[in-house]
Amino acid sequence: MTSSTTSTTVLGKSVQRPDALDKVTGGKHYPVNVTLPGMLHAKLLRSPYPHARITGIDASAAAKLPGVKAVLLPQDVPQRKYCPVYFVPTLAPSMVQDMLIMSDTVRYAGQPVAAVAATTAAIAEQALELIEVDYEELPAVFDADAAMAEGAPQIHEGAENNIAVNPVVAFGDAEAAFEKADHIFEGVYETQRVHTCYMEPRVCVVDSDTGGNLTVHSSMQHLFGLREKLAFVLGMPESKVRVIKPAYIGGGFGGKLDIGYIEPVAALLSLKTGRPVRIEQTRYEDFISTTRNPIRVYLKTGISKDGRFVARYAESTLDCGAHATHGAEVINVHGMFGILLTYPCPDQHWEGKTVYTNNMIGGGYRGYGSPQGAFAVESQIDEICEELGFDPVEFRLKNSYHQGDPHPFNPQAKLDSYRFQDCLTQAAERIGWSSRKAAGSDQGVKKRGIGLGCQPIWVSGCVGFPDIYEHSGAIVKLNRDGTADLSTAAVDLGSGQITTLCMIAAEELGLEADQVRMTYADTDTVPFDAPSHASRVTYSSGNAVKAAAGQARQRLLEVAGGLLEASPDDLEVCEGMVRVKGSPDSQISVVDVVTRAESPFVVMTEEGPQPTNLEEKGTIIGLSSMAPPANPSPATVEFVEVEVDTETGQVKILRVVFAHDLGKLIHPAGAEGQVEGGFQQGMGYALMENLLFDPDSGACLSSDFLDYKMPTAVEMPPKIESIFIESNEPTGPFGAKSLSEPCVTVPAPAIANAIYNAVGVRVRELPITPEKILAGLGKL
Amino acid sequence: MYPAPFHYHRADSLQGAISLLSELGDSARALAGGQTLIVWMKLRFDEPQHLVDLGRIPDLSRISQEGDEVRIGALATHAEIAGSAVADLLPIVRDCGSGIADAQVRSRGTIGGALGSADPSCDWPTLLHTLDAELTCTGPEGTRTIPVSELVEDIYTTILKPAELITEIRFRRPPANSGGSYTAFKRCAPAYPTASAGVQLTLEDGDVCSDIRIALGSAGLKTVTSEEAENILRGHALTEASIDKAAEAIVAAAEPVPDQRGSEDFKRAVLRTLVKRAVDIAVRRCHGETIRGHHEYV
Ligand SMILES: Cc1cc2nc3c(=O)[nH]c(=O)nc-3n(C[C@H](O)[C@H](O)[C@H](O)COP(=O)(O)OP(=O)(O)OC[C@H]3O[C@@H](n4cnc5c(N)ncnc54)[C@H](O)[C@@H]3O)c2cc1C
Repeated sequence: MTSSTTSTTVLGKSVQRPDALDKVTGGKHYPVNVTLPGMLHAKLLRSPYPHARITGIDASAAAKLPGVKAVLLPQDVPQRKYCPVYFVPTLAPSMVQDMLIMSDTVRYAGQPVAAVAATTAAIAEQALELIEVDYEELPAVFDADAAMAEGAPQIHEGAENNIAVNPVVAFGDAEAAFEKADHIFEGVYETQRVHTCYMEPRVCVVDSDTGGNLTVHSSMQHLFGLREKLAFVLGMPESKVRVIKPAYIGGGFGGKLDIGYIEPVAALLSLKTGRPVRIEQTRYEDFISTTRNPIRVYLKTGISKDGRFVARYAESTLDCGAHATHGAEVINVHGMFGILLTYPCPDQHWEGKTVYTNNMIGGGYRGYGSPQGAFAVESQIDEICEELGFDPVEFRLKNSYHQGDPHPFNPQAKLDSYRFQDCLTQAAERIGWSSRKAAGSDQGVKKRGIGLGCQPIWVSGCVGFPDIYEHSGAIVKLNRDGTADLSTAAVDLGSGQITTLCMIAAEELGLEADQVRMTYADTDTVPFDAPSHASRVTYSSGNAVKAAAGQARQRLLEVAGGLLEASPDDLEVCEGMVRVKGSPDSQISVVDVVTRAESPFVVMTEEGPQPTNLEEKGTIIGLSSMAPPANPSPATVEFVEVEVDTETGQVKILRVVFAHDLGKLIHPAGAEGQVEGGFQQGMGYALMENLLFDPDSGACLSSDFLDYKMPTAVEMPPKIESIFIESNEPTGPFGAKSLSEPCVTVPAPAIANAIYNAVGVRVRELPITPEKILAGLGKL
Repeated sequence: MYPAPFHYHRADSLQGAISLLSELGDSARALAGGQTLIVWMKLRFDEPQHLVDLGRIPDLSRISQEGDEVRIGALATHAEIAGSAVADLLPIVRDCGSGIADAQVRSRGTIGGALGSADPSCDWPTLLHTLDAELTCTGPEGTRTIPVSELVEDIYTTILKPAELITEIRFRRPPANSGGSYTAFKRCAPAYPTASAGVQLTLEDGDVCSDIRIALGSAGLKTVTSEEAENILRGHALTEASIDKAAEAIVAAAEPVPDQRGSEDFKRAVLRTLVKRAVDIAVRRCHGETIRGHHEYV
């Protein structure tokens, strides 16, 4: 076990992102900008009722509207039930296949019931108004508890009590252990529905050819997932679907991790008309397409006199809305990584329920169930400490896993590079924890407080998870000008995957970062890659890129070895030169080696034609397709200082100190950007974001950003201090493991705990609005 | 959503705009910055068939001071007003103009549009109540002056006649021993206020309040004022108790509507705080303190 980090030349230094200039000048390669000749525009008609049966549809007037080219109704659509989630096989047994592209049963307000393709989007929208749908309204239910109660409307056949999945996980004997606990704490913690607020809407352009082949452009997080799901729902062979990799997309954050209605509908309309069809969702449509599932957690914890976890029990109820979608998996990640595995405790019992309601469907969102768990666990730890007089930092240190312990999720692996304690102590020192005051003791109208939240255990990808894809691939090709092209199916969501992967390839090849270019890919031309999700790209795709670059490098050394008359093992590449180690005069440029490899076998010289060496011929290229070796856990700690206005309830974030052990810091500016964006999302979750619904109709009341409020630059703290602790993960590319999600998970509990420290008000229901704080202060 | 189809007309002169609007009748709307109207059209709250763009009418965005009179053209944008010499002179004007929404909205939205939309969440109407502003309005029947307090009949409805336009906003520059403050509570920067309050007061020797105007925004269907509240403070030295009492009185006159921004009780609590804070800042400004005003948000 070593904590010394691998020495590198490219990694660890910030570079300019290759996509930066393109984006600040308009970002012409976003999928939203794709247009094709003859392209039609389609719009979806959505149900105003949350639960209804369609008894008739008359679209004849719509079809006659000038400019309308095709209409799609439920009867035109293959009735193949699917699970839209990209990262699992479509028929994965652990997921629930309960969706149809269009159905004659409506289960939430906003479910599509018809579609129109026309020459302009305005005509398509106008045509929707001409479609007459007869609905037979059915009783609806919008609350998970009510949905499980006797006599509740049945939302899906066969789902008893409207429960979609009901996992139970237990270690030891929690019931007996509670008997031995000196103190028992209980609480209910609730979280709300929020949207990732990706900037680019969900949008696609689907084209078809006379052979019935589809070409798909879409703003999504997974090429191969879209290919698989689209082929399945349309009943086509996968090879007839080609998904083009977007150069980048305008944000995803887990919100584009499942096939929408738009891709299959556009595909069917394209097959019908023979023309490319584009669908772009409005912000309202995006709001009802994907959200972080609200979860209510009942959490009970048994503590010993000396402040150790003795027993834990939790029940989590997740409202998945009308279809299970991600809810079947989010509940498990929530139970394991949000609750059970966070701190070691021998006796634990957890039960999760993913419950159907007639609310809108949920989706993926950075953190994937852990923010809802961390809010409960980390809030309750502070409640325990407050009540029993423990220091919250000491308490967590005492109850945590340690470097070298067996991995709690994959016990055959060890927590080799785990540095939770260092995160906690370094960040505590930086924020000035030792000078923290007692809760509510600050004087004045505006009171300050400090709080923390942790994510002790998380993932670097999905190795070990049932039914979840986890392999990656890459192609690295050297050019005769000494640069390299990298192609992979890993989509850059905006979080800088292009930069990171190019840097990894450059490091391995001995090139400069800007000498590697991320180039074109589609599902026909590159190996499978799992989605850009689950904090996996740097680790998993990074390993695959390193392997492909390593193969190209090996070939480069072989060819160079022939030219330098040296064994490849004795060569190294640096600064664009291949050198014999230890004899710097014996060298040849990468340009010359690659040029030689690709030159004609027989070259014309003054002495006439001369053969070269057949063995050195061929493009210098490396290819990988592989699963990553492990699933190392990072650790994350965040401290926040807040100022609470006791007369308005407003919370201002003054300071944020974030610590994360990430193995190897590959791109410092990129890593900081992740943390800053993560804080913004976590802060919105903690303080203001909330999708609101009409309690009678289930209709989403937040139709745009006038209604739905997320933090802007003005509300953000002036600075977020990131402490990256390097620890050399032996299975990672150059010692790296993951970073991206825990920074979204920790802000809510850290802010909740800081608010408590400032004003002595404990809010157990997100978002912590000014109104809840004033109510807690007894001022309403 | 896309707006319902409409015809676009560009007016070259005030008279041209007025003639066009009266010709086109009920189905036409004047378009200023579009920051309210276009949003309404996209949401299909309004489906005009004609838009008459006022944007190119010369001289309608002039901001000037002549003697102790301040004049602001109806087409002056929030950003222009916040950056003007008038705002240098009257911090309350900067408080208001620079706190509205975000930079995009401030550089398009106009003071005339904020008045014309009769939206009780808009900041200018509230502010202008504290300055007893008057509006010059011109229509087919000529020009008249409307006190700002009489403009709004009901939420989203003004007393303007068909084709009548606000052309200018006028108010007396408050005396040197007067100070003002405008403050709004918002969920985040680009949001309409949850509640807002404006105060302009004049202090004589011994800190006796010789005059005061208080107005509340987002506090009911119209801007809320209260003579009772003002009378509690006018003619007396200000004390914590009297300020509390006045705040209580004007908040009692408010009828905040519960919505996504908060419950009625919460809005009343916030209004109470805003009034007290605005009075506090106004008093300090009377005393010559420089206080950077701002809208209160996270
Ligand atoms: C995201 C967002 C946030 C916002 N937040 C705030 C906020 O915090 N505070 C705030 O005060 N405002 C806010 N606004 C509204 C903004 O200030 C608008 O600029 C203002 O309400 C209308 O001005 P306008 O020039 O855009 O008017 P328009 O939208 O062009 O017109 C509005 C109405 O006024 C009428 N009208 C326009 N000019 C005249 C005239 N000269 N005479 C008579 N009638 C006229 C129009 O016919 C129309 O009915 C926000 C807007 C947005 C989009």
